[in-house]
Amino acid sequence: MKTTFRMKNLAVSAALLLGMAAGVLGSPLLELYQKHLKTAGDFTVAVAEQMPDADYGYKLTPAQMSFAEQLTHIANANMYFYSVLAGEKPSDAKPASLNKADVIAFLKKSNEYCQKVLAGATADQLAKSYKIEDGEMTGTEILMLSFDHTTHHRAQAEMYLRSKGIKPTEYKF
Amino acid sequence: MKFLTLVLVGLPVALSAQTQPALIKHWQISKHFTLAVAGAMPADQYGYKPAEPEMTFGQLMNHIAQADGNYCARASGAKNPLTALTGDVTKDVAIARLTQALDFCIAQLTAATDADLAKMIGPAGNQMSGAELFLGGFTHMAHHRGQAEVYLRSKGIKPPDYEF
Repeated sequence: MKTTFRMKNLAVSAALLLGMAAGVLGSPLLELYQKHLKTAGDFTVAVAEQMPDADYGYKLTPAQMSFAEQLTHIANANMYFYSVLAGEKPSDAKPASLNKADVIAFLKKSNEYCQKVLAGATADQLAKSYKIEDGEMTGTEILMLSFDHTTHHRAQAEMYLRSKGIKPTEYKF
Repeated sequence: MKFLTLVLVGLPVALSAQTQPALIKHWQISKHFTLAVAGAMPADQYGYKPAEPEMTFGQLMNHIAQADGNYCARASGAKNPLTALTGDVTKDVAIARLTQALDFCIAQLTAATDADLAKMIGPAGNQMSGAELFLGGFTHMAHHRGQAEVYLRSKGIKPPDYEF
């Protein structure tokens, strides 16, 4: 009896420990999101690198955002999405200027923040519902939103490159 | 020991249990948004491209449809209902093919089991899970739809509002 009880206890403790580890590290889906967040962030920086500094204010029509504004919008939106996931106050940070070097530094800062939040995320955080500006969503949906929204604006930025005669870097996922 | 097994397999499953409805919901919204972008370009501008190395607007729409079909076929093992199309693409054809591809994707995604979503697919060293392929098609669509909006802008047309 005693042995069985101990065995059971041991199994429960091991299960809890492994379960907690799985919540942080072992989930294939969480790893998948971490992988694509890194790919997406690096891809955006690569697009940003392609435009010459002198054309950072370029836009095709007056109603659009400039190249610099598209990238800054990506960075700000991502910091907002991941702050919701982390339960932190959204940052009101801005790039020091809309020059190439400052915008790229800002993008990198945003990428680092988002990657840090997701590295520490648990399955529970992804399952939970959050109120965000666009309505109520689970953590998983917020991650999907961040990918979709980043891709949406990065693709527009790529068209600005095209219109300047620059072939955009290859699509990555 | 049964409990140990439950906890170990329980967490990834719990995550896929909310990934699938999220994917279905947002593929549906994305279908609506993509068809809205396709609809916003007048039929007589479907041959337009802003720069020479690019696809025409019609080809871009068809590329989204064709690629969606491919991603979802790879993810599900079902056959892509769209056959390859070359040359000009009219507005009617583009909208029909987008509708067909997106309906196929949503149907396959809805029918997918947890095992389908977790299954690793493709050649060794370059594998993706079913869930990853569905996310890949979704993101690829956002990429080209974002480009299409700039085509609209350069024709002086305000693109439909962003939807997610």
